[in-house]
Amino acid sequence: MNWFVTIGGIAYNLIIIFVVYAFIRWKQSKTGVEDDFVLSSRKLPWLAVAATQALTALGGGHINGLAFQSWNTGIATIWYCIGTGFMFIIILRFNGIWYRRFGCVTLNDMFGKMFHPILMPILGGVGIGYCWGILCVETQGLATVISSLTGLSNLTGAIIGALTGILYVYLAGMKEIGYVNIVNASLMYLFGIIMLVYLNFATPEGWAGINNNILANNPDLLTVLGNPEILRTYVIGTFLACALGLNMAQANIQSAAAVENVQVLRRACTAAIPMNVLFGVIILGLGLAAMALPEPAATGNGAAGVVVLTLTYMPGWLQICVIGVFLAAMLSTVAMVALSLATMFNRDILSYFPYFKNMSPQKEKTWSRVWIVVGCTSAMLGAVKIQAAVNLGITWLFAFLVPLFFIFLIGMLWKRSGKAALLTLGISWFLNLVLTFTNLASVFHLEGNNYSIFMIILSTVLCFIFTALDKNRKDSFTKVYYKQRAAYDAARNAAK
Amino acid sequence: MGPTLSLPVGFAIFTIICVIIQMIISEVAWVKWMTHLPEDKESWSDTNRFVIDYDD
Repeated sequence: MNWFVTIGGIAYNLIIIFVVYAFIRWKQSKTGVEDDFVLSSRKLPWLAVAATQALTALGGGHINGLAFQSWNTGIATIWYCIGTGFMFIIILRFNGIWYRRFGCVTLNDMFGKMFHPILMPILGGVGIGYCWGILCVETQGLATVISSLTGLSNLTGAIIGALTGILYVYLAGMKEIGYVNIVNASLMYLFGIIMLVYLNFATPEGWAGINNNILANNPDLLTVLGNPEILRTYVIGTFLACALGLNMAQANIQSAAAVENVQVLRRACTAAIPMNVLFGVIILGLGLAAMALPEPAATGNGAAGVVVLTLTYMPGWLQICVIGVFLAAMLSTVAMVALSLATMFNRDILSYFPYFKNMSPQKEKTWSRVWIVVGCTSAMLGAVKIQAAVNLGITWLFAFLVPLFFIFLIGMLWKRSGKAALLTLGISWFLNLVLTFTNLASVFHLEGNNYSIFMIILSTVLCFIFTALDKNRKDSFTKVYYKQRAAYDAARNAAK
Repeated sequence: MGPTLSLPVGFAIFTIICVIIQMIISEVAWVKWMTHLPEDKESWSDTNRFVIDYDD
């Protein structure tokens, strides 16, 4: 049991959260202005946007997932991170730019206005379900780390993890997330690099021994593309799914709406790419080191192996910092996903009820906090119950979002059809349910990454066909935008 | 498949090269491929800014 390290790792996060909150309150007391909870009054600086983009995408999937996967696919696992880097380019050079120009707060609102109003509550409902699923997975990741270190039950670990995650966002909303993420991103690299250097001196033969061990036993794990099997079953599908499948998640894109203007997103993109992608080197390096060293290798998997590696070879202070960093990576995702869940619930579902329509910032803050607490606590209980289905659950959840990017792309650049959007989503989602809850996916060899590629191709083809068949399809949304902009400029010039 | 890299230095250098390529692609996308509009520089707090009317 490592209570000292666990308490230290949690304290590490609580200290950062409360220090940043005190800083925000101090600045508020000086200016007398309190920024709104959901979008930080659209004044989030570029570094906070970059850190939030990078750390929202960097959660349990990176910490537990990449470490686990590194034992199967080696350094080729980095294509997961490189695909995520392309996701930032798509968000901060296309989706997010237009989403910001339209002034939308939720993606579902944008789809409702582009295609058909009914899409707003439908996508809102699916988006909230998706967020809740991700909260379950992240809370479970937190529970796994805490319970494996302390011997506490998974439920207790999940409670501790969820409570810390709630604090990350509860105090000051988007602004708190952005500023805490800046601090965490800096410390993640600092302690990650220190650990890589320290391992060279703390292990019997240093990194040379680790490399020789892997080269002797499984040389494919040190090649960029692995072997033909790894390339086919992991690299291609993972890269495409990360780059094209997740750029329409509300949690990933909400920070793009919180900026003063589109110019801010230029710097944010350039910084978010290295912030996220390079962390993969640290985690995969640790994962593979865990495989080559006897004590962590005895755990049987990379995720547990990295924890044992830390506890076996690092000094106490570094153990606390590294476990603190691992928890912070998952907590940052919990915070942003919980905030996006609350935003979608308030804006896309409850806004149909008079009491919740056009809420004041203060009222929205109160209700956002309620949904954050409800979302995190219910996910905490779900996390303990659905452990066996995590990987399948993640693939299933991601598949709900995959069609959105292609529907958006076609609607922005070619033609818009509400019927085509609804039919594409309906069929894709129905097939997602059928293929997940029956054995049909394995019959058609659509397991794992092939499944993501299948959903990408299916939704693109369906949306093209249905849009082409719809005689009442409308002009692309960019065309509408430019037409209205020209009319606005003409009226303004005439007024002068 | 592909070159064999050493941990962690060779692997880090490869990833840094990939990141630099992505950053260049991102800047090329910004400069060459994106349409830049006047409102992209406008402040959100400016009440006289263009707002799209969705009801087309």
